[in-house]
Amino acid sequence: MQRLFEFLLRFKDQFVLILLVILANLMILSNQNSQINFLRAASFGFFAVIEEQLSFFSRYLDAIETAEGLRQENMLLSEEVYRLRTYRIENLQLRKDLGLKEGIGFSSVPADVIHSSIYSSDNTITITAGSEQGVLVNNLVRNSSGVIGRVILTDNQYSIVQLMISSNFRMGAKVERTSTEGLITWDGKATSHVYLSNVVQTSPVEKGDPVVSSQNSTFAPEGIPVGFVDSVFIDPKQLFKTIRVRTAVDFSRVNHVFVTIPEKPDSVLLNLDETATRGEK
Amino acid sequence: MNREWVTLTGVSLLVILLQFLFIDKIAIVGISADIVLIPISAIAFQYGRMKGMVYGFSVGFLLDIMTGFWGVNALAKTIAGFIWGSFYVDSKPLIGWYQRQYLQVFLFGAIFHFAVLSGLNYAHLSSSIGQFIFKYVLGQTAYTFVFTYLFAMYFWNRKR
Repeated sequence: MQRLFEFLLRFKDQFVLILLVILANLMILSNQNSQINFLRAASFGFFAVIEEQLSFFSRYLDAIETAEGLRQENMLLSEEVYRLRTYRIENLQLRKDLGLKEGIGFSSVPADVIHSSIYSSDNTITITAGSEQGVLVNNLVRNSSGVIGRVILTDNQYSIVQLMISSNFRMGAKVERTSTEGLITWDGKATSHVYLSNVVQTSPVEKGDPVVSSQNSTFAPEGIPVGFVDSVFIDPKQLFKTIRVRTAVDFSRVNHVFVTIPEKPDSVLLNLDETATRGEK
Repeated sequence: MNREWVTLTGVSLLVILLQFLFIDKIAIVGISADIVLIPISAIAFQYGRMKGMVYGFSVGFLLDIMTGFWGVNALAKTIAGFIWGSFYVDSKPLIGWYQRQYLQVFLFGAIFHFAVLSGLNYAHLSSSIGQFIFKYVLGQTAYTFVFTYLFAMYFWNRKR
């Protein structure tokens, strides 16, 4: 026993190293565990309060530039709103004539960005909207330019958003002009470009075509701008081609965002499905 | 001793805030510096492996909590603390952190730190081993070294 104690004492540094390395590895492996996730959300919420106070200074410094940008954006949006109102009336009339039902509605929760990390492989931002504002994991986050990312962790008042320029981000999208479907991914390099992969070789795509979220996306409503086709890669040996997309959003200048929340949550839709199945039986 | 630790805690919090609010925002082509390594190396050189490791783990864990992904920084900074602490033998520092050799040993530990950190964060993003080593490991080490050099120069000038 004495010898064992001496042995442990002699190599205590190495033992502590092994212990800490095991502890760190356990933490890495249990990041997706629900209990750890709860702790992560609670601790991140605590630090987000501090971050929000500190981000006040940087937001104040950016205020003049932001105001100028907003003025220009406001002008463009008011023109677009006028056009969209006309289309909506036309669309409603056509849907009524065809006897189609209204689709799922979405509401938007505004939020400020209090921290952003855009230079790693899994880029995130922290926003000032959480579960108390109705934000849920997997809600789409956007700004007036287009898709920013999706919520991956929520606290009462804050949320972490996985950006579209994140190696683990996947979203169904399509080339708007041709309705060519694909999957949005990021290669971890330029923060201004993402890729639309798994696109059928034969589909016609041209440089400058707008890319938007598709109805096949599991979390995004259809038609939210993603970006514009920049170039197309074709490998004759492959079935699919890859499209390089210039993102509509400048990720280095994201200060204000909107969380898109479905008005009919997934659970309501699931209940509807169950009711329909029971009805069939 | 207590006063030293209180000062160090204050300095560490300041460095973490600087890292979070300023250094992360001045990344160059996806490469960012990690100035939190400076107080970790200082502690490890001054007090040895045990304190270097525990301090590295604690500060790393604090950074992990702030970023929302646990374990990565804690692991890399524990290993760095162990390496730098190995230059403290028989209750006295082999290398005083005010000496010029500090920079050489810092570089050695920082390479290991970024190899672990980048291995977990960027390995799957690199198209080749060369890109991984030159961009993520050596690139981040070099960028961090610039800040460490500036800190060391300031410290040496004050000593004189």
